[in-house]
Amino acid sequence: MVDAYIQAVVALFQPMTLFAILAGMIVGIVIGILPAIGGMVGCSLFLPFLWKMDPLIAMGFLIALQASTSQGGCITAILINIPGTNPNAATLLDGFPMNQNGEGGRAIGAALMSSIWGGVLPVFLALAMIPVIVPIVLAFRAPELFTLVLLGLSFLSLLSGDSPRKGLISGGLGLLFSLVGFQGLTGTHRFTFGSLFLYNGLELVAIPLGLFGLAEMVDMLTKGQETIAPEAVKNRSQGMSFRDVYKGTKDVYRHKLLWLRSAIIGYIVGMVPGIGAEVAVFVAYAQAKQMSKNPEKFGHGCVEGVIAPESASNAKEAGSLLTTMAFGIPGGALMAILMAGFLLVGVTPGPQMMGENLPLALTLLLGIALANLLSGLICLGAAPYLGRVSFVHIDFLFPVVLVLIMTGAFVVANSMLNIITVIVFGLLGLCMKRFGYSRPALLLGFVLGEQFEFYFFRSWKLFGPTFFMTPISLVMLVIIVVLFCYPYLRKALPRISRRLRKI
Amino acid sequence: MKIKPKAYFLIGIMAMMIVAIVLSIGFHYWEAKVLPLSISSFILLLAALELRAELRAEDKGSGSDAESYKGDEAEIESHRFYSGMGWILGFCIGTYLLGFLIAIPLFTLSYLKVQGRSLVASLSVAAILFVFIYLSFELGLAAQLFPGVIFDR
Repeated sequence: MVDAYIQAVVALFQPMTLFAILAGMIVGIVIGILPAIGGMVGCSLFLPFLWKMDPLIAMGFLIALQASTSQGGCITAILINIPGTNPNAATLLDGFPMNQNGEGGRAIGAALMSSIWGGVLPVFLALAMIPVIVPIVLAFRAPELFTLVLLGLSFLSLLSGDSPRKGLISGGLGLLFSLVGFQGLTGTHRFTFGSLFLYNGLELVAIPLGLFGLAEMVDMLTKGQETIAPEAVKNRSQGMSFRDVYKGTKDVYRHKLLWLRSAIIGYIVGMVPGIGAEVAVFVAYAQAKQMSKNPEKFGHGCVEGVIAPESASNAKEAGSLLTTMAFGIPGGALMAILMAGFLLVGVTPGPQMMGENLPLALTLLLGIALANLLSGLICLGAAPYLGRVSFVHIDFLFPVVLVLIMTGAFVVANSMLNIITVIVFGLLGLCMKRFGYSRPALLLGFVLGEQFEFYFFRSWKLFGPTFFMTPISLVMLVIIVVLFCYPYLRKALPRISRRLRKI
Repeated sequence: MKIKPKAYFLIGIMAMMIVAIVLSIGFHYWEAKVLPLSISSFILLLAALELRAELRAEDKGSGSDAESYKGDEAEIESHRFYSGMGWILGFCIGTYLLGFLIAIPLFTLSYLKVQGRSLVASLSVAAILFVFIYLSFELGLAAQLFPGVIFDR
C-alpha cells in the first residue's frame, strides 16, 4: 500500500502529468467563467481528445478540467449574478449582493480561498480512507457487484430528474441503449437492424456529446440566450483591487471552522451517488446560516454565505471521485462523464481499479488537490481580469462547440454515422432537458449497462437464481427498496401520524 | 383536448419500447432476450403511468409546462430551433461532401457572417478553429479526418 502512495506522488510530478493537469486547469477555468458552457458540456467536449492518450495523462487532464470549472464559475456568479456552473448557484446569493455593496473583490477572495482549501483537505481524507475501502471493495464478488451496479443506478435514477418515475425511465433507457450490438455470451446481434456500425454497440463518446454538448447548444440557441454585455463586466470589475481580494482570503481564516464544516459536508454528500453538487452547496449554505450569529445578514452580502458553498462545492469532488473509482458508481452527472473517460482510455473503475490501478487512483486524487490549489491561485492572481472572459457571445460559441462535437464524434469511431448518433442523442437530450427527465441517469445506465448484464449472468451461472442472498447484497437490496418506497412513505407518513393522533 | 409535446415524447418512448419488446421476443436464446425484454417492459409500464398522470394534469389544467409558451414567443423559439438545426445539418452535409478541413472554416465563416459579425472577426475565428482542429486531431492524435465524398477518390 505504501508503495502505491509513493508511486502516485512520483507519477503526479512527472512533467507530462503536470502539463496535462495545467492544461486541464486552464481550460476548466475558462469553461467555468463562460456562463454558456458548464462543466458537463466542457468535459464531454474534451472526451474525444483523450482517445489514444495514456490513462494517467488523459484522466489527469479531465479531472483538472472538472475541478477548476467551479473556481472559474464563482467569479461570474459574484460579478454578474450568473453562476458559471450549477454548484455556483448558492454563491451568488451573497456574492452578488457583496459585489453590489462594493465588496466584489473581497467576495472573490473569500470564494477562491475557501474553494482552494475545500478542494485540498478532503483529498487527504479520501487518501486516508483508501486503506479501509480497498479490502472491502476487493471482497466483492459477482453478486455483490451486480447489486452494487443496481444500487448506483437506483440512486441516480430516483434522486435526479423531476420525479422518481422519470428518473427510472431515463436510467432504463440508458440500460437498453447499452444492450445494442453483439452479445458475446450467445453470439446474438441485438437491435442492430443489420447495420455494421451498430455491431459493436453505440459509441460511448457519442452519448455525452449529444446528450449534454449538442443539446445544451441547441437549447441555448432556441432560447436565444444572450451572454452579458462587455461593459457590464468591465464596470463591475472596475475598482476591484488585489487588496480587496486579499481581505477576502483573510476572511476564510477568520471563519476556519465554517469552511472545515462545509468541506466535510461537501465530502460526505459527494460520496453518496446521485446527489448533485447543488445539494452539497445548499446544505452547506443552510448550516452556515443556521449556525451563524447573524443569520439575518445572509442573502444581503454576508461573507460566510460565500465561504460555505464554495468550500462544499470543491470538497464534493474528492468524495465523488472516491466512490466512482472504488465502487465504479459515479457520484453524479460529471462523474458519469468522467467514468466514460475512464472506459475510453481502457480503465474500468471499481474493484479492478482499486487492485491493479491503485497508484493511478491515488495519483488522480492528488491531482484534484493540485488542480484546486493551482487554479485557485491563478484565479486569485487574475481575479479582476478573468470576469471579462464571460462576454464571449453565443454567436462565437456555437460554431466552435459544434465543430468540436462533430469532429470529436467522427474521430473516435472513424465513421460519419457516429455524427448521426450524436444528432439523435442531441435531440433526445433536448427533449429530456425540456420535459424534466434525467440525462445523467441515462448516461449512467449506458455506462453501467455492460457490467450490469455481465455480473447478472456471471452471478446466475455461479450461484443460481438466488445469487443475491448474500449478506452484502441483501443490505444493498434493502437500501434499494427503501429508496423506491421513500417518496410514497414521505407522502403517507403525515397522513398516518394524523390518524394516529386522532385515535 | 390539446396534447402537449411532453405527452408526444412519452408516446414516442412507448412506441420505441413496443418495437424493442417485439424484437427481443425474436431473439433465439433466453440470455439474449431476458434483459432487453424486462427493461423495455418496465419502461413501457412507467411511461404509460407517466402519460396517464400527464393527461390527467392537462385535463385539470394544472400543467405547469415550461414549454407551453403562448403565441409569438413559441413561434420565435420554433424559428430559432429550426434555424439552429438547419445550420447543424448544413455543417454535416458540408462535411460529408467537402470533408472536415474545408467544411469547418466554410461553416464558421458563413455562420458568423450571417449573424452579422465583421469579416475580420469571422475570418479569425474560422482560421483559429481550422488550425486547432488540424493540429490536435490530424497531427496530435494522428486521426485521419473525413476528406469528403468529392475528394475521397
